[in-house]
Amino acid sequence: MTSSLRDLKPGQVAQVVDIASNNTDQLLKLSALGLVPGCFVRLQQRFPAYIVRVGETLLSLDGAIAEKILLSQEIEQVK
Amino acid sequence: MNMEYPPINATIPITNRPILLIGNPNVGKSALFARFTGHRVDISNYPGTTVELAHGPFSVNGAVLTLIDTPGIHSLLPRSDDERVTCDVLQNSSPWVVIQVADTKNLRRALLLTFQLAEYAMPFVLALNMADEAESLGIQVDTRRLAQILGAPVISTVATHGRGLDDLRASLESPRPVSYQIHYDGAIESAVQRITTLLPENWTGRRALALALLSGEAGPAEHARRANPIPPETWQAQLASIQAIVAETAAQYSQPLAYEITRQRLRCADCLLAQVYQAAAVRPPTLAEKLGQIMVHPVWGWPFLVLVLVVMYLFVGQFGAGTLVGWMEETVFGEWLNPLAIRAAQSIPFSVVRDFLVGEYGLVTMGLSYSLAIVLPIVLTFFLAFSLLEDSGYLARLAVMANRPFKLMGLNGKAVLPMVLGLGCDTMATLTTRILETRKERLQVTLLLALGVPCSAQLGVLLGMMAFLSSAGVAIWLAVVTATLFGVGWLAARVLPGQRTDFILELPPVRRPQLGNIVVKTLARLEWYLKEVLPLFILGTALLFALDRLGLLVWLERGMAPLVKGLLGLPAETASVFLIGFLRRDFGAVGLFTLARDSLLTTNQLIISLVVITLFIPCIANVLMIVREHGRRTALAVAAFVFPFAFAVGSLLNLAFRLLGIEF
Ligand SMILES: Nc1nc2c(ncn2[C@@H]2O[C@H](COP(=O)(O)OP(=O)(O)OP(=O)(O)O)[C@@H](O)[C@H]2O)c(=O)[nH]1
Ligand SMILES: [Mg+2]
Repeated sequence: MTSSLRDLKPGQVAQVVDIASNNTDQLLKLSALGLVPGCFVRLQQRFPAYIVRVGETLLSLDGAIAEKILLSQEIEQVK
Repeated sequence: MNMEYPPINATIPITNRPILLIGNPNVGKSALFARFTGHRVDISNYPGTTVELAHGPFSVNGAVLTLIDTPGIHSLLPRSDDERVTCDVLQNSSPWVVIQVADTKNLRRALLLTFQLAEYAMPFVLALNMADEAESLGIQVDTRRLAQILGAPVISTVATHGRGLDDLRASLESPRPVSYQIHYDGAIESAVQRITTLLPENWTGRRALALALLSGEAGPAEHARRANPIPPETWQAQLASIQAIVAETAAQYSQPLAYEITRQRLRCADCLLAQVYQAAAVRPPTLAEKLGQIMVHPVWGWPFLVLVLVVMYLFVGQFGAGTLVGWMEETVFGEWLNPLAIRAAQSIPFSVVRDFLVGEYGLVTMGLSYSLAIVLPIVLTFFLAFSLLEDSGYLARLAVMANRPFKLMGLNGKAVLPMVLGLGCDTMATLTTRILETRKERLQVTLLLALGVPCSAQLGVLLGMMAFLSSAGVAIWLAVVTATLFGVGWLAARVLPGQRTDFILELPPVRRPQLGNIVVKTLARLEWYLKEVLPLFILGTALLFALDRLGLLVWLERGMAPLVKGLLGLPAETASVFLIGFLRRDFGAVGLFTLARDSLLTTNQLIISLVVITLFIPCIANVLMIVREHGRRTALAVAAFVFPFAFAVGSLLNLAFRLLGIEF
């Protein structure tokens, strides 16, 4: 079973293992913002849009994208 | 051309080779530009403030060069029209030096761009801006080490306080390209080598061109070809071989090549960061971060939004439109200027001139008092409040809050930025649609702006008019306009060809707005108002005066009666309101304001006419901007839709009022 950003709870940190999108534009856009497999993301909130922190960048995303961001199972709780 | 990099000093000839400011969005490029050139450009705390180039004089070691501020970019593969502007100027202008401006705390993303600029082999300086913020977050960057590794100057700066600017200027004197080049994996490197040998030797930055071609971007090579042409047949042949190499390389990866290349760049950035970048492992959220979380909080975000709107309304609607307008009208114009002008005019022997100055449609009594007494105070208070929203970082967070409703229209939250900017000025907002990624989204937002987003001047008059309306009336006006915008947006999403995109937006940090910047910005916008709007107001007054004098106004009112009286159920006098509405919607709205004040309109009529004038044709400047960005045919199509549509909505509302027997 894999988990995606959708399964993360606010405040949790996890490592991205894959971005399951075959939309090149989307992949390029996320990578230009620093979001690629290997990096750590921290979820701030899920509603009204997903907000994640990648390094010092704060990104807001649609749920449709969040579910494509697959995470490793080890989840850190920081708070 | 093969570039040499002579030192910059007073002996260099005057050239048009500029110095470019390039960098990720919202890192302080415009703030640096303003510091260096003394020119005023928009500086705001959201990505996508700058959407076109700005030029200014810049002296380096006695030589006066041109400094160019550019829209922010994420990479050299442009994805929207504003990014395209930057990539084009980078490739076309053969700059003396490229100053990459970076947000120190976001060095990782900046390096992604640094590596690409290094491949272009252009002389390069890295400004690590926002050093103050990095310091307060406990982030340390070893600039000396970074400069050593890159082989280029790295200067720490704080654009807003002018820190490090002298060092930055000095570092430009002997420019040289970055010596550091990243190495991709075997397959990509060998493809780069093979493509490079296929490119003409006199093309600069061949490594970068090869990598762009591998990423599926032919733009840079086309630019190089324009600068140093080769026969088309030769190029076609080369291009075919290149495409074969690209296809062969792409087959070795499961992911698109462009993505693979970016990932390898990011991996190099991470290696480099490990050597120069230190951050406190875990830090508690700062006060600003906590405030930022409240602004978009699933629960608290909504009361916060209401609070913002209420405060805006109190400041602009009550203080600006009430207190200030009252004082300007009653005291400044009523007691001082008008009596003075009337007394002065009495000495003029010609009654025509006298009436032209101080009559019913007089220049002073109508033109100036409308534009200065009624609209100016509201525009002033609106822009003051709006700058606070921009500079605090709330505007981008509004996009998060409004993402869902915007998705219903086939847009995403990013479109909130131009839509809300439209409340300031629709013309500028039409330009800002460049930040949207597809042409479809751009056209959709351009249409909605033209159709029904009231600009500050119009909003001002509308706010002033709320005094004559019950809150139910205001609610109806708001509901009809909003529903129309949504309806048209929804339809346009279905009718216009093209793609929609998913919502991905970078949120700027919450920052304390700087008083200086707010004052400068507000003054500049007032200057724009006085320069652009005032002459039109005066022209409108003159036009009305002339029509009235020549007896054409009555004739016109009679001609438009079937439309105005029949369909909209309005008194004939409103015809003149719509007529001047052609010049500017807000001018038409002012006409309604006076009609309402003189009790010539029932509340029903007031609501209907307000709806029509809100949805009325956009101002001339806005139409010209649509022409500039999308061509004459699109502008014509927009106008041809908006004009009858405004009347249609007004007529329907009139019909609904009558059928339902609604009477306010
Ligand atoms: N604390 C701090 N804030 C800065 C600094 N430089 C710029 N800012 C702020 O950062 C925000 C963005 O500045 P801009 O100059 O508009 O950034 P830009 O790079 O031109 O942005 P775009 O045009 O959107 O690409 C503004 O609110 C500035 O006041 C700095 O050195 N320190
Ligand atoms: Mg800018």
